[in-house]
Amino acid sequence: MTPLTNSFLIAVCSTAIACLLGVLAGFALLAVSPSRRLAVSFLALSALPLLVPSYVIVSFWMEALGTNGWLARLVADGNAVSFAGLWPTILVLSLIYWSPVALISYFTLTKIDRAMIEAAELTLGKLRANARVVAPLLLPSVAASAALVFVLTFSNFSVPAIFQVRTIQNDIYVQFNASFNVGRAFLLAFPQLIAAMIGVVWLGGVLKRRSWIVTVVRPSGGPNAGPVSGGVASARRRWAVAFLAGLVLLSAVAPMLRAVESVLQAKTFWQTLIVSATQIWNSFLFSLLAATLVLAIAVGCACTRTRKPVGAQRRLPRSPSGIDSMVLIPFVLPEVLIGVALIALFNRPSLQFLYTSLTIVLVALTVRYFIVGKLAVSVGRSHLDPSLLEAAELAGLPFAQKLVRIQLPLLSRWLLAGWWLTYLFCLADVGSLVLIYPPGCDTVPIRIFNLLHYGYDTQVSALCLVMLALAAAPFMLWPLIRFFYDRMSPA
Amino acid sequence: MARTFRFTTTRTIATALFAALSVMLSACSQRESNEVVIYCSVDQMHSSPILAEFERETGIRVKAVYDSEAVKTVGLVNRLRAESRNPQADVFWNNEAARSFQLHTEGVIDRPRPFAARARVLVYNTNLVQPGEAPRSIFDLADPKWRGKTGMAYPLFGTTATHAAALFVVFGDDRARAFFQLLKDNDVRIYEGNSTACEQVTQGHCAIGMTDTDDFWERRARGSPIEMVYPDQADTDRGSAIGCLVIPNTVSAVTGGRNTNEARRLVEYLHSRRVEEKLAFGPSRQIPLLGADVPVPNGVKRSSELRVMEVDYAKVAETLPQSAEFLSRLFQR
Repeated sequence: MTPLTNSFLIAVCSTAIACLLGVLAGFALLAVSPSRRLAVSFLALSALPLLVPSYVIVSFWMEALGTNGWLARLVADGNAVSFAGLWPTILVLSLIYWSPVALISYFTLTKIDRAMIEAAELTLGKLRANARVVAPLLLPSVAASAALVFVLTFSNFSVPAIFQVRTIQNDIYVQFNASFNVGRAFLLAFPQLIAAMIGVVWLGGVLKRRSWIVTVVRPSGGPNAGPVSGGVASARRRWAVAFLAGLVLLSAVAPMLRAVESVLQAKTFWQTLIVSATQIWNSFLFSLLAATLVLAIAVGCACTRTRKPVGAQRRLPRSPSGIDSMVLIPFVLPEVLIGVALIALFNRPSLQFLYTSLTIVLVALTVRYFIVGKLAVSVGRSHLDPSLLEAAELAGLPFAQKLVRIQLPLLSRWLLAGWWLTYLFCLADVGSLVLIYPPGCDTVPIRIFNLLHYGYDTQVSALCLVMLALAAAPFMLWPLIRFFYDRMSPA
Repeated sequence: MARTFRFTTTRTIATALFAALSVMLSACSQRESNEVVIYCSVDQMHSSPILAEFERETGIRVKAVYDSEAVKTVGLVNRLRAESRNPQADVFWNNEAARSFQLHTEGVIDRPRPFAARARVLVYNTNLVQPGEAPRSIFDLADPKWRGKTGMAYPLFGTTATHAAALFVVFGDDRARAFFQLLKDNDVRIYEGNSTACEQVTQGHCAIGMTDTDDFWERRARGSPIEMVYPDQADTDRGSAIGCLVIPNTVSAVTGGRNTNEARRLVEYLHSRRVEEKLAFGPSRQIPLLGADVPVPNGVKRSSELRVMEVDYAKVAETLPQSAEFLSRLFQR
């Protein structure tokens, strides 16, 4: 098979499996949600696969199937099991990327008006109500996350490379890294650009067909959170817990436990923290600033584009706008090409102060991950009732007040989710920064890749745990932000 | 009143945030006169102590950018090329030679100066291969007895690419192509890097691997079940003793770099026996090249104790594109 076929096969199959696992996990999260403690624990655990670097997951499975690995002992008397090719690649990628689908599905399910579902169930029955009401309401979110997973699996270089599958990414890397043939690398990336454009058109259509779900957050929402008998609910919750526990164990917890064990054995955690203090601070700062910038611009763009007078016809474009296409390109293109483009644009004497500063890092991250923030805002806005904005406009509220008092509070859940997702992408980024980061501006993932030269050792494990802590850092800061917000907001 | 206070607080916080952001944004932009920017493809854990010592001794501040396994350790080579119209680096310390000579030919850096080296070696898993049956030559990797049990890095990057190009120079095109075809026919496994190849041998996914000495020493220090063979030290029935390839580090000043005096001092410092000794006694156990009197730790062979493959790295650099072109087609995964 050609590299392009391999890439498409990997992306399509991984996306399909990840979506299936993710949607099931979304429903499972909903089933456990009546127990707040359980729901919060599983929500946090479901985010883990996104935070654990893919090489940790791959290394874990390779080690498990290596000579005397625990899985090799179970299935092959301790002999190494060959673990290469298309299917291992697809399985590992599915295990990594079910997470965003699950989280987005869960948040959407909690926003669905339960009264609507109950009414549908009375007339259609449970199964048909789910198929005809819940599924279409869930589709925009699943579609958005599927598009994201498709792009991420298509552009993943390291997992197929480790499993010895030749993909288009591999060819692009060869053209760039071995021959510095930037033009050829760009040409090779063209099919994935086209595929992504098609994805955006399809996604745009899906988002516009279903304009909104609910406007008022109810105390407890969701199609499956309705009144059911205690026995049924309990059985459903047990299944949900078993399913979620198995999934997070295989995809993230077991690899992370291996990392923790390695760190505990070597006792180098504090030493690694001290040596890597600059990189840890850089990672946090760059991701924080870039994610905030991305969301601010995305909200700004979305709000200014909808400043139309009341009564103006809402025409929905059939194809993605120029802006949609523009912001998609940096996300889809191989990261090294972004680096080369930024060097060509910024590395000149007149822009020296920008090129040698943190600005170039922020520009790279903002340009590359703008689509993530924009997607979050778009999906959020598709769940808004436009009549609310029209009512506000009729009431004569100025634009700024409409934004602050109506749009932002209604979008807040999506904005926070989008901000955190963008933050995570920025945190894990290596490729966009590796060609342009100024001296002293390296990050934790770059340091991990430096250390990876000598394999999967304790320092890498320690830094992977640091990455987890950094990913969770915004949640730790949240109470502080709320405190200031509450103090500053009008009584 | 309270409202006014809140408004003032908001404004104060916003101003403070803006000021902090401005300071942070310009934090890296200040270039001092007494500094040198080095692009360093030698692993950070080995090179940063040496650079720190240079700082202490000279008072010159060293700003380093390190290479990453994510870009197959040729990221800095490509960054130097991309930045060549307005160079940001003053010195390039490369962990191999061929790419440095390529950059020199392109006018990006001054003539590279070789020092401390790594050797290309065969490693084997001692649980899977007995010392007596371990291969002694790279030609043994084509032996049907090892079919599907050998591995090496993708020969388009790093020292494996240099090794492949060196074989093209030493053997000539036809024989080198035939050799790699034999490896391919014998189902050699291709991994994304030397470290991965060595790790696969360590884990037993693969019995024998071709890699660099530093990968071996690092894993050996962790107690991994692997041993090393310097290949082609004597004639075998498969081929003559061409010797093992020894790949030196190179250091050179970047053409058009801003801090020429500081760059010159750093190049002199790195290209010294003292640094060679540090690298020999470091975790990567590099082989000194600048003198027979540089001490080495137990187990490390000097280049004079080895039969070394004789190659001209300028020619290897010239051959690199053709060998890469052939090998990329041959080893399509």
